[in-house]
Amino acid sequence: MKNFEYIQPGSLNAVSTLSKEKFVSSHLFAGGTDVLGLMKDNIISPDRLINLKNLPNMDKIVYKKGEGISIGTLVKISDIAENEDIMNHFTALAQAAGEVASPQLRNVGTLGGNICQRPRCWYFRGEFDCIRKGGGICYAYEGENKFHCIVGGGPCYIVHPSDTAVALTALNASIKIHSNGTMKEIPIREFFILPEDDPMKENILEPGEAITEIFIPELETGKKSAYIKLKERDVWDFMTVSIAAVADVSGSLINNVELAFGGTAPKPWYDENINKVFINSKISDLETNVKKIFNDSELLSKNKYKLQLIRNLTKRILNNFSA
Amino acid sequence: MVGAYPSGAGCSWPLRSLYKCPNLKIEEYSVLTNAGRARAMRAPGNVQGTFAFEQMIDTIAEKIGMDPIEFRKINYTDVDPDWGGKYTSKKLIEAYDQGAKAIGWEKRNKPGSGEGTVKRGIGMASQIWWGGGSPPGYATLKLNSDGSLNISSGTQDIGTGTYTILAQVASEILEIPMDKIQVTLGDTETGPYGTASGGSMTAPTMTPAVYDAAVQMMDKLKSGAAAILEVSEDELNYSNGIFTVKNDPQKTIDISKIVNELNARTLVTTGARNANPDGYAINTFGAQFADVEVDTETGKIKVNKIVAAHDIGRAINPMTLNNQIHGGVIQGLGFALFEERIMDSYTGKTVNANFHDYKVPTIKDTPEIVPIIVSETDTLISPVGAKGVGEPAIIPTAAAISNAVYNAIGVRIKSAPMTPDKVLNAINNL
Amino acid sequence: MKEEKNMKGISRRRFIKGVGTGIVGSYVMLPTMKDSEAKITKSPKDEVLESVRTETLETTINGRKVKSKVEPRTTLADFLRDYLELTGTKVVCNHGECGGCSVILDGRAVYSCMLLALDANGKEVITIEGLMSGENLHPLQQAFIEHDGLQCGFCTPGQIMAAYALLKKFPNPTDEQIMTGMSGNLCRCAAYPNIIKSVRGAAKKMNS
Ligand SMILES: Cc1cc2nc3c(=O)[nH]c(=O)nc-3n(C[C@H](O)[C@H](O)[C@H](O)COP(=O)(O)OP(=O)(O)OC[C@H]3O[C@@H](n4cnc5c(N)ncnc54)[C@H](O)[C@@H]3O)c2cc1C
Ligand code: SF4
Ligand code: FES
Ligand code: FES
Repeated sequence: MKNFEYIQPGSLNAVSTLSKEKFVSSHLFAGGTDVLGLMKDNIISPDRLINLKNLPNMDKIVYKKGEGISIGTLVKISDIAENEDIMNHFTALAQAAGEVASPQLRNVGTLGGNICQRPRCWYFRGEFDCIRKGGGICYAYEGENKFHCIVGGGPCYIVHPSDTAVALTALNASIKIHSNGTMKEIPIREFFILPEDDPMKENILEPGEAITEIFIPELETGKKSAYIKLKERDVWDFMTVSIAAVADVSGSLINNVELAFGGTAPKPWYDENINKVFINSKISDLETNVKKIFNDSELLSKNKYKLQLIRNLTKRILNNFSA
Repeated sequence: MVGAYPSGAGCSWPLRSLYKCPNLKIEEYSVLTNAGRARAMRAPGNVQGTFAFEQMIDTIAEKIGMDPIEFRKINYTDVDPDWGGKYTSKKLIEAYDQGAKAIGWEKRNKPGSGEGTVKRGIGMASQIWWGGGSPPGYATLKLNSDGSLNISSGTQDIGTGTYTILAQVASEILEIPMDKIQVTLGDTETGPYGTASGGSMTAPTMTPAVYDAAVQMMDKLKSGAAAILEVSEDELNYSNGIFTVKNDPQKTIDISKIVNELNARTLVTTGARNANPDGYAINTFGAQFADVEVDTETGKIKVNKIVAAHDIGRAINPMTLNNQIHGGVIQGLGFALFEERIMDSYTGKTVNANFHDYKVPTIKDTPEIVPIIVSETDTLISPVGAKGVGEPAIIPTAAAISNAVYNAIGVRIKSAPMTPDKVLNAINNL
Repeated sequence: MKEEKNMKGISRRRFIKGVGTGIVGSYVMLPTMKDSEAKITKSPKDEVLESVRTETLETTINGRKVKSKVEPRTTLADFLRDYLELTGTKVVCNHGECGGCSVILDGRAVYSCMLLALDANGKEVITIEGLMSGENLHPLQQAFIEHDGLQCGFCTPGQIMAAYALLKKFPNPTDEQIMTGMSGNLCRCAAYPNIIKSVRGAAKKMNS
């Protein structure tokens, strides 16, 4: 890891100015659990790290009944997993946070950092100059791609690694961003981008911008949320496939549902047409209905099992709502 | 299997030696690859060979409609099938019987017959390995004038408990308390040559060397005591560091006093590992039993319980022994479910050379493990009678798990690790 | 390769070698080489070349105040091991993937390899060396010995620190809490069953 300047800005405006300074490569630094990994592997080598941790008021969780919950970008993943309000009202997020990495990483990693972490494609993290690193080819496309995406790929085929992002997508969260002196709020469903838009980044953030908080609106009455994740190892493992659902299920009838899929696409995958398959359908018809989703997927040589897996897990998560 | 340097993996050893089979032809060949050097890992080749072979044995048993244990028992051999040598000891039948009882073998159902999406299965596999130890191996004992003892040897303790068991053997013979014994290992400058850590050799090689040195020490002490007390050696009793004259219990001398009276300051002996008996085969045996659950919708395998019944001669220290068995079983579980070097076939580079893509089992993946030692001391090998356990413990685990997986879902997974993608592909015939 | 002579009679190969060393040399020097940044401070005894790319770290380690200059890139693990010679903290993967470097930062278990030393500024760090009181082992250390909660012992400092944080949070942990609390520490020897026993045993002792 090459040496760098470690800057402790006191305000968001300073963050903007410092990140945009010419001829100095800067990188935002929160918990650092992803940034340090990238730097040690020489995937990034910034001249300057801009520490966000000392910025005021970005580490709070504020719940207002009937409105929703605001979670500061610097809130630790472990605090999200154990927060009563999040557990009770935004269960999918608490469950997703509990599924992240290991206790030690959850104690340091922040929510903003978790949704902005770089992908885990082993070619990207290894010594391969692939498209996402500015090279000419995607090694995964014809290579070792059992963990790669089945929809939304091309020219790069990553899956987005964040657990919390999947839950936040189902929960229809929005992201508050400080951008050069002004604030903007972007629905998370529009925050992530596909490789066809830009294969070298995963979201819309531009230099000078920083997330300040994440807001989740209160769920309508009758709706509940849940997150399930399949991983090879029982713990400390990225998702093979995961699903977050916000659903209103009464008895054997699914009145309403919003689904987001992890381990499936280069971004947390959200598709109204998938929801429509299940809205106003019966639990007993799940077996046939799940066959209607992801029929347009582009399966790679080693990830065919994912289609089956996604369908089975969709069945399972919706079944659980009626149980 | 073979890396940059041609060395056979030895996968076929269990095939050649586990059962009685007069008409056996085995072909094993090495393939030169360009994939980086092969390195030895706990029972190299045998974990892989057993994974394949013990699944074959189960397949044959099923084809002829026989219980897998019954089938193994009728093919049991009393002599090494390779050259006919008699075993110094073999308690494999006992391992089958006690292991089957502990896992609840009678509850085992027909393959794939369970209801629901999560299916339960029971399976087992046998194990054979060397692990008898052999010369050379030496240990030096120094008895100091304060009655404390130093043991030194060039062998090492890689976490297997060598320090503890060497002290135990000396303590047992010389009746010196453990806290007065200090063991120095890992350096041939301060101690004589001792065996390297490999082949499950350390305990069966080094404990007899310490035993030999301790017996020599005892002889010296006894003749010293006899001379000082002016009686013949037969007239002496020894207990807890003190010699007593049988007919005159008032006349005693303790060992530190002997060292002082002889004006020796220290008494030194060096012991050697005895030769193994001629004409005998020395092997360790065992059988492991797995109770698993397979989630047929996700392809994920959960191991509930492993019973590990082993014939390893004398168990010197049950606590460190069980720790070795736990370790072997969990590493075997890693081989069965997670661990795999994934190489990009276009570039020849390993893509998962790190600890989150190369998945080592965590505490959460740990099943209930029940070690059972079915053997007692094997006096033909050495006066200590211990065989090794380090490698035996890992050998049958993956095979037992794979047989249990078959019993659960009725589909064979023929490649390790049995990851969810492979299980789903196998179930769905992809 | 045939050695070609250049004008001064130095072989081409040696010339390349020479340049190579130069590059390595300047790379190592980099933090101190930018003229505008380097300043020379005279101390009575010797000259110290000090880079502005070092910063002051003030932290508390095992109850003792520590003040030191560090380069920003120094991880907490490297600081503990290389600056303070507290080598009980082990660096195995250096990537947050094994747990060998676990220490306590303000009451919580963290991987010291994935933290900058400067992020410990104003905070309290406890390492394995901080658990003993005088010559007495901490009940957790004692329990790992009693229950043989280790084999090679390399992961053990990290295991004990994770257990320390766990027992601070749940003095009477359930088995499920133990499994979760200890799930961020690999043990390649797989002494896990005895690690669970050790944590249970320590909890019992510490509560009595
Ligand atoms: C071994 C291992 C296993 C893991 N397993 C999982 C897992 O199972 N599931 C999972 O979800 N994650 C997993 N992770 C990822 C881990 O959770 C992330 O590293 C962590 O959440 C990142 O948070 P951080 O605060 O440390 O981010 P940092 O490393 O500080 O930052 C990460 C990225 O986010 C950017 N960033 C941070 N804050 C902001 C902000 N406010 N505004 C704009 N950009 C910002 C940074 O510039 C950087 O690019 C794992 C990591 C490791 C090392
Ligand atoms: S999937 Fe993307 S990150 Fe991975 S090799 Fe292809 S281009 Fe690179
Ligand atoms: S060395 Fe820090 S987690 Fe492995
Ligand atoms: S005791 Fe060896 S790695 Fe844990």
